Amino acid sequence: MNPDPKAAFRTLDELRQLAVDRVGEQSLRIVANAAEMGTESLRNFMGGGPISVKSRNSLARWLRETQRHADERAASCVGMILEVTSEVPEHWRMKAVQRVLDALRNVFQMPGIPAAQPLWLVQVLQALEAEDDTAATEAFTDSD
Amino acid sequence: MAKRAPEVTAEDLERFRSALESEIQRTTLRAVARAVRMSSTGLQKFLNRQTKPYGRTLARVRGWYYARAGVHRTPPELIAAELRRYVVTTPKPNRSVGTILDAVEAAYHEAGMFAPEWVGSVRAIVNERATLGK
Repeated sequence: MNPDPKAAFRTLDELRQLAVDRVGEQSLRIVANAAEMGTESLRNFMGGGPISVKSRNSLARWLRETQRHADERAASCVGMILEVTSEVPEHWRMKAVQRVLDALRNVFQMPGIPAAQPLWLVQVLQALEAEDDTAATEAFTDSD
Repeated sequence: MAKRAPEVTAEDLERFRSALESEIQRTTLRAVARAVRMSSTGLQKFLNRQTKPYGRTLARVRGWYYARAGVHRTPPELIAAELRRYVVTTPKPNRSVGTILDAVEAAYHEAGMFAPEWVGSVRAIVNERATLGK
């Protein structure tokens, strides 16, 4: 059974915002092609215009697939960063993780790359910040 | 819609299986399944190649692998390929991998340590590819 592509997005505004985010991260042409829409239709929709049911469904389906892909890649990247720094002593570990993360962010800020960072990288930042908070909380609790 | 490259390759799965099998030989299937947070049956099916893990299960297997076996037992060619996969959309992927390796090396130096041996091996592979224009 195919899941309802609309179900992943609560409102049309949410769909619009996600489309704007992905265009910032990739390009109008890439998103339009992936969502099987014309670039003008997509531009019009992002500017607040209407969207056909067919285009809405294909855009929603692609955005959901992109999200799933980003989730998987982010999880794998967090594992990679923790692993390559695994031999750094605990005291220096957070700084080491931050250093590798900064390097990864820097390579996505090279000239010729879209301004917005890839969705998966944003998720990696969030996941590692959450991990950092947890570690800080644990350290605080330990010191109690 | 263009099909995306899978986040886990057949080689990755074989590495995971091999590490899991070694650990099971050392302990028990049940103990390893508990460590991975899978059912014993699910783990056995994965080892027998009856199933391919996806989503949460894949994340658990991968998490276990990174925590228990990891990059130090991984051939440098595969580490280079893994790092390259994250930066393949940048204009110069080999240079991007080099930037990540610089950061790893600096992190160890900052802690007063030499960088692990694999860093140099991976760098040599990446530099060679960059020279060959791959």
